[in-house]
Amino acid sequence: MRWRRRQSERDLDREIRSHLELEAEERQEAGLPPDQARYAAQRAFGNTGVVKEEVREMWGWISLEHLWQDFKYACRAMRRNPAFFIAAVLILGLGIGVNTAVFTVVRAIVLNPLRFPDADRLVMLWRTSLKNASARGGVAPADFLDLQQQVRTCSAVAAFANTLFDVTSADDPNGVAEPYRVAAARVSANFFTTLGVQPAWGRDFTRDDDDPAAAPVAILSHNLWQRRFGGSPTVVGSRITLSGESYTVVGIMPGGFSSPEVFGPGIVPDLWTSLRFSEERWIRGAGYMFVVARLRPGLPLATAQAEMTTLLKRFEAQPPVSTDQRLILVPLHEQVVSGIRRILLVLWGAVGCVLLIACTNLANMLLTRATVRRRELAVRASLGASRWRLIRQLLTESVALAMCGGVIGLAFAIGAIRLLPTLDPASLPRLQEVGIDLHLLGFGLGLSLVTGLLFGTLPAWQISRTAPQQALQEASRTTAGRRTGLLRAVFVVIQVSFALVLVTGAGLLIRSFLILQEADLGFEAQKVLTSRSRCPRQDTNATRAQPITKSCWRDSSRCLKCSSPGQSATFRSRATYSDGRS
Amino acid sequence: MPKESSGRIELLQGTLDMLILRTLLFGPAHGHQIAKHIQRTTDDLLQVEHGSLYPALHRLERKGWIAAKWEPAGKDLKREFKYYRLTPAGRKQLVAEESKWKQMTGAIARIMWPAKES
Repeated sequence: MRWRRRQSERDLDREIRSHLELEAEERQEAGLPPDQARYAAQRAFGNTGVVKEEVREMWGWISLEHLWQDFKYACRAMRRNPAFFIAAVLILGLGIGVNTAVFTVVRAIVLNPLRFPDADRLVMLWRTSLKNASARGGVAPADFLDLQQQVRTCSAVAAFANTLFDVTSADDPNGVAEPYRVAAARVSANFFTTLGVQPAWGRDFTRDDDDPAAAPVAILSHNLWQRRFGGSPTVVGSRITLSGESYTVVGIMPGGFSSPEVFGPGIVPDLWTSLRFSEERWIRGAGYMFVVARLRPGLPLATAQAEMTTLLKRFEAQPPVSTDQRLILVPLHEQVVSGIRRILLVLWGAVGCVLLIACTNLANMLLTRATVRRRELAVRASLGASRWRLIRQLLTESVALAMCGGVIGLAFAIGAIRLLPTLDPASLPRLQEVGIDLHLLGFGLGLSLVTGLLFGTLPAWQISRTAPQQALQEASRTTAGRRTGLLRAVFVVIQVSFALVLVTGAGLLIRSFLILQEADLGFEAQKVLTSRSRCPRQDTNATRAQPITKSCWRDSSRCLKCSSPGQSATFRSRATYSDGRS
Repeated sequence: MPKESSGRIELLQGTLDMLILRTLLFGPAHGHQIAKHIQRTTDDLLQVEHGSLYPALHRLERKGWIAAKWEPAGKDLKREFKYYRLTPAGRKQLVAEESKWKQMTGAIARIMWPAKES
């Protein structure tokens, strides 16, 4: 449209210029000197700017007028056939609605960069072995500390380790108030600066906090702060007891911040403490620290990867020696969304199929209606409407129809997106980033427009082909009918094939689900109950924690046995079949 | 911009379209030719400001009464002009406007010179 406008603009310019030249030449031939001739030509022409403006105004006005007329026709046609109108709008609403909803989810989760500054430069560092490249493990503390010092290709390297804390309030040492558990992470002091975020209140961790002798400090998530501390700013500086140890709250993260969900969807710490390596500082080899690094600007991933390989070789000159170990870098975004990307794209394809089915369905309905409307169109054509004008009128009708459907669809999509968090889909990372925004509106309306053109074009073309006299005499109904009949058959074929694809896909999915349900687990699962529990550890230092933990488990085991006699109870450090949320 | 002193007549509103259509009845012409034709045939009596021709031309084109095409001028092929041509719809329109014009002038004449009419 814009392009056409510019084209017309250039065209007008050229036209006026050639007129002025010609006039000037004529005046020159009549005996005027060149500059005077040019001046006279201009005077005879009048004000060029005003003329151009008049022409431009007329362009806009006429196309607007036509559009308005077409729109009025469209409304009239719809009012004349409310059943068709309602059916079409509902079909379209469904198609556009699910597509808009899925687009919003795909965009927020897969397409959008992570919500960190320059998120594309953030990478995760994993330790793998050559033999089993798919098994990724963390980095040992000593390796991490060396890496942090020696690495050149990354501007920052930070580590974190997920953990759980039991929170009891510090001024309630007897544990009268109900304790609760939070997902937490021990992080290196530069963790937040590496990600490029700052606490909203209070301060970030400093290098001194990492000293094992330093006072324990913690930073709260906005969510935890709101949920458990009532959003009171006096929390900063107060003390909380985490698994028996007293911590000072030094900061609160901003509301939008969430740690990258590298361990799977929904596994998001609500609290961060500093690392404070003590003896663990010397552990090498396979480790439990997860490392996130920020590449230097302009450096390709491969360069950093090469450096990691050489660095690891250097570490492995020191014992324990293992030769097939590798450090690999994975872009953080990839890390977070790789598990879900394919599923979401398949879902997108499926709802795309739904929309295409809706389109062909509607195109068919329009063609069927066309036989009824042929007389009306023929009358219009014989009254002087050009074929292009008729096509445009029919297209305006279908676009108006699609827009009505789009409004229904948008309402549907907004409802679906609102409902999504309450469904708590366990497999979706970045769920809190899915929201209603202008992109949703834009996509929904744009999709409606495209849909309208898509299902309207062929029928409009087909219908407008009928010669007016013939249609008026209704003599040639059979020939025109045969052509539309063929087109309708094609639409039905498309519709059925897409539906077949969807039904087959859904069928296979259900079958896989049934097979999974009937799979032999190797034990009788019917009468087995599982429960998750955690005994407090006094310290991160394993040797000191053990006696307490052991006695705790022994006590709870005894409790379980006496409360349900005749049954057996057993303990395991990880659930046999769990949803991964530990 | 009326220039009564030069003895020319300002064109009546709405008649320009008809004059353009009538001029194009002779065959395709570009804007300058149309302007010159109107001036010459009326011995420069009808004053058409050349510029005012173009909004009219574009309006007629949009309405589908005339069609335009860039074509080289007859003698030298280097220069191209935008030639306007009457469409069938334009021909019909010309007939309609002509009869309307005749009715109007007739009606005016009957008021102005009642004696002559009776």
